[in-house]
Amino acid sequence: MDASLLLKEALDLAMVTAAFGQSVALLFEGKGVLQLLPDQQPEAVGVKHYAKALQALALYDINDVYLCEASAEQYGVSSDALMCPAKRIDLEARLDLLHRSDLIFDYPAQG
Amino acid sequence: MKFALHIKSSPYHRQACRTALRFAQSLISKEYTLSLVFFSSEAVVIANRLASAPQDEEDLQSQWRALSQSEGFTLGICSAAAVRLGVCSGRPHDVSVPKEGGRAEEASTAQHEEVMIDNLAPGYQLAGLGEWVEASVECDRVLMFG
Repeated sequence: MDASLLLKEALDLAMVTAAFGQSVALLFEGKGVLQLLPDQQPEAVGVKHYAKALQALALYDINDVYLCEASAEQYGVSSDALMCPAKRIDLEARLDLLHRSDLIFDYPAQG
Repeated sequence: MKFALHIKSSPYHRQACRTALRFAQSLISKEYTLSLVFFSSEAVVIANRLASAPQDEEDLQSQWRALSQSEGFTLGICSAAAVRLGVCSGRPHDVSVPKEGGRAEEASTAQHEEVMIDNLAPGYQLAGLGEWVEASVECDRVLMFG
């Protein structure tokens, strides 16, 4: 599936879940870290810019946005000037986040 | 113990829909309760009444319906994905996602035309993401089949 649609579906679920009063954290890892890069121009290939919705997360009280440090390094994504503020976490903190969460919904990029 | 299942991928290209069905049959045989099976993304095409499986293949649409009717759980079809992929109930969809910029007008035109069309298979119902969230909060176990 188109990666931008994956992001849209994940964000839809996150926002609706938050709107139902649940506490939501988002973790970007693997190729997903690229979604956080600013200055994307998906319109150039006829795709809507769903990553803009990242800027609305704070309106839904979703402030726990994490960026996997190892993935960020692998893909050359630096923490400044991202689509939304994200905290870098190492593998240990990532594991801890997963352990602390009651439900985990995975949106893996394919291909 | 109550379960909710979420299936996301196409019933034709991936195994998830079938694996989830086996899982559902198995948990019912162990006397657990299934409260909601939610189909989103490409999985919503399971509910296209106009699609028919080849005779020598498993008919997943009918199998899910039969299980749902005998056990009394809901087969929910994500309404936003259903609009996108052309699964329509003959009524204007309750699209819970916000209208998006310049596309809003196109989307409402499409919805208007869908009013006349009903290809939602019996036994399935359109549902918003909110219904999935409620089930995932209320159930003891929540599984996603990607």
